[in-house]
Order: sequence, then C-alpha cells, then structure tokens
Amino acid sequence: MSIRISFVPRFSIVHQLDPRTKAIVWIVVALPAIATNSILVCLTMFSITVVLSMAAKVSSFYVKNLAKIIVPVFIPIFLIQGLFNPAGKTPVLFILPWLYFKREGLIFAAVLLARLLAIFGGGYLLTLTTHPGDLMASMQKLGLPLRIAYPLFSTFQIVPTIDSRLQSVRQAQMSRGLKLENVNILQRLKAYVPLITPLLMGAIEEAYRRSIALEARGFSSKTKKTYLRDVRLRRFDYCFAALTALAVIFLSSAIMMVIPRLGPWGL
Amino acid sequence: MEFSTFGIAMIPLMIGVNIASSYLAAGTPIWADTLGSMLAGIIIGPVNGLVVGALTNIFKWVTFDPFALPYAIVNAAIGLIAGICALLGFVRKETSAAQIGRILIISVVLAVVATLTSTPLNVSLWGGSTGKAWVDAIFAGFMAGGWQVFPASMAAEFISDITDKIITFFIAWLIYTRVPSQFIKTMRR
Repeated sequence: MSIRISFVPRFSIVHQLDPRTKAIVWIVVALPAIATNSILVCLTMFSITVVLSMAAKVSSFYVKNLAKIIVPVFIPIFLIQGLFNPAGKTPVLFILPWLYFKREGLIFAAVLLARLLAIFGGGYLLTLTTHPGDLMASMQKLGLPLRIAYPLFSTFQIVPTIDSRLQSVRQAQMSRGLKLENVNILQRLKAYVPLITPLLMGAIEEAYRRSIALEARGFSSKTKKTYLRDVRLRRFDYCFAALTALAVIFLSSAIMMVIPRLGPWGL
Repeated sequence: MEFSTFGIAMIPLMIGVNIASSYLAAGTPIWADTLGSMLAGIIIGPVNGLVVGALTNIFKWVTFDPFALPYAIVNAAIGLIAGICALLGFVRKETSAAQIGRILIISVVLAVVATLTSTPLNVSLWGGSTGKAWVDAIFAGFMAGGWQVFPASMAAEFISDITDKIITFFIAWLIYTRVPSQFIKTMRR
C-alpha cells in the first residue's frame, strides 16, 4: 500500500505524550468541526493538527498521505454535487448551456471536505505518532480487557505484515508468469484470485500460529499482567491537553464572532 | 468457540485480509472489501464475522480512509449474514450444481443487505455518490435521466453490489473448501 498507515519513529514532544492525551486532543479538535457548519472553523481545526504534526516532525508524511487519501475521493464528489445537487440554483461555471456548476452544491462539497479533514486529521496523527504497544498498554490501563484490546490494537502491527506478505506473493506469482503490469481491467480481475488465495491461506495458518504463541504467553490466564512498555500520565500531559483545549475554544469562538461581519464570504 | 484464542487471533488477520483484498481490487470494478469478514463468518461464526467487519472499518477510519466509519454497519452485516448462512448449513464443502446455486442465492441476499444498509448512508452523507468511478457514473446517469436521488443511488449501489458479492463470496467459499475440515474442527473447540 502506498499510503503510510503505521507508526513513524521520531524523537519529539508529541511522541512522548501519553496516548490517552493524544486521544483527548483528537476529540477536542474534532468537536467544533462536528458542532458547526462553518468551513472556516473546520479548516482552522485542521491547521491545528498540521501544527501538531510539525511539532512531531512527521508533517511531510502527514500532509502528503492525507492528500493521497482525500483528493481521489473528493474530485468525483465535487463534480457530482457541483453539477447535480438538487439544492443548486446559482450558476458559477458553465460547461454546456444545460450543464453548469452551482454555488450551493459546491459549498456542500466543500463543507464535507473541511469537516472530514478536521475530524480525520487528529486520529491519523495519533496512529502516526504512537507505538502500537503503547496504545494497547494505555487502553488496558483505562480498563479495557485484553480479549478486546488484543484484536483492536494488534491490527496496527499485523496490517503492515500482511502488506509485505502481499508483496512477496506478488513477486512469486510474477516469477511464475502472472502478468501484473500494464494490464487492463479484466486481466487485473483475473489476477485477483491467484494473488488473494495464497495470502488468505497464509493468514489462516498465521492465525493458528499466533493463537499458540498467545497461549504460550498466558493469554487466557487470569492473573494480573505486567507491561514491557510503560505509559504514564505526567504533568506535561495535563498541560498539553489544557493548552490545546484553550486554543481550540479561543479560535473557534473568535471565528464564529467574525463570520457575520464577513457578509457573503462568511462560510 | 467464537472467541477462543484462535478466534481472537483470526480477527486482526482477517481485518488485514479485508484491507489487502480491497487494495488488490483497487483498479477493478469490484470493492472486495468484505472477503475477510465473510471468511471469519464462515470458518468461525457469525459474531466473529460481525466483529471483523465492524473493526475493519473502524481501523480503516482511524488510519487511511476517513469515509469508512459509517460503513462499519454494512461490513458487519455482511460478516454476520455470511456466518448465519454457514451456521444453517448452506455453505458446504462440495462442488455440485446445487452448492453453486446456494452460493448464488447467498450472494444475492448479501447484495440486498449491503444495498439496504449502505444506500441511506450514501445519500445522507455524500449526496448519493459512492467513491467508485463507474458506480458514480451510473448514478449520475440515472440522475440525469430525471430519477430522484434515493432510487438512483439505490439502483447504482445494487448493480455494483451484486457483481461484487457474487465474485467475493465465491472466492470465500472456494478458499473455505481448501481449508482441511480436521483443522477447522480442532479450531472450533
């Protein structure tokens, strides 16, 4: 997969925060975006996450991957909403006399995009800057039983493994003469079966091996467990969360007060 | 049996399979993002299929697909229904015409379930578009032909779902027939 979805190891303030603090920051940043309909507020919340990603030294990963995720999906949404949204009245850009972009539809699509960036950004930042083991340990400290925490958080480690396994299956099948480059849709559909079958059989086998490994380490044992990775809420965590909350409240209320004065440009 | 250690170890791996499968199918007309949920439902049980389906979309949502969260319902329903069909004995390890017929019927049921659950989401969240270019083209065609948003979106979604579920469920069944019965029996204990 060309999109980076796993942890990026760096030495920074954000990496040292407790995962629980990062989750709180995410919720705090996402709330105004859910509560209001304003593009400006949503974009401001998104810029807060960009600033945090700079502090975490992962800003290039963050912005590039978000663009890779968002752009291909939003081009058709802008096209369809701009051209065909039934609420659309005011013409903006004519393509044909009966086919034109309408202001209402475009604004609808823009609100979707801005809100999505604000809500999604914080969560993506959390996965980029947190070791999966830390995430699991902190959730268990919140009282989540291991039987639920394991499938939830080991996914973060297993998906990259499956991805690398997929690459080796690909190469193995190509060496046997399966055509995978410069193919049309029908050929790609045909290549899907020989690629997915070995991957799935391997996954079932891997689940079997993992279940034995888990049992060997006392997965179903009822005794209290200790952790290799230690996570703690320190004073710095509380300060950080409070600061972010203050910034969010200040910025969003300031924008909500300014919007009526902007007239037709208040979005 | 659903949440034995093996059942729990299967969950993250089947989530990985869901994601790898939808990644492999990216350039094709199908979604193929429910293969792992179906297999978990068939091999382990309906509740496990449901958990795999729901967690897949939650994982996608927090990592690389901001549109995935509401569709957790769709994916979970697919895993659950596939599991129930297997529990009722409709998914058997035999290559007969009757079995192929059963597979087709289950695929249609799954497609109906997927359409019923995802169309309201498509319409209320994205104004009816789905994110797959050819489905959106059909949708835009229906809209240009004067259909209302909801029926147009539903028709486009059903056309895409029926192709997707027939192919995906057939592959899931094919792989299920290749897994040794003795192995499954041991694992269910």
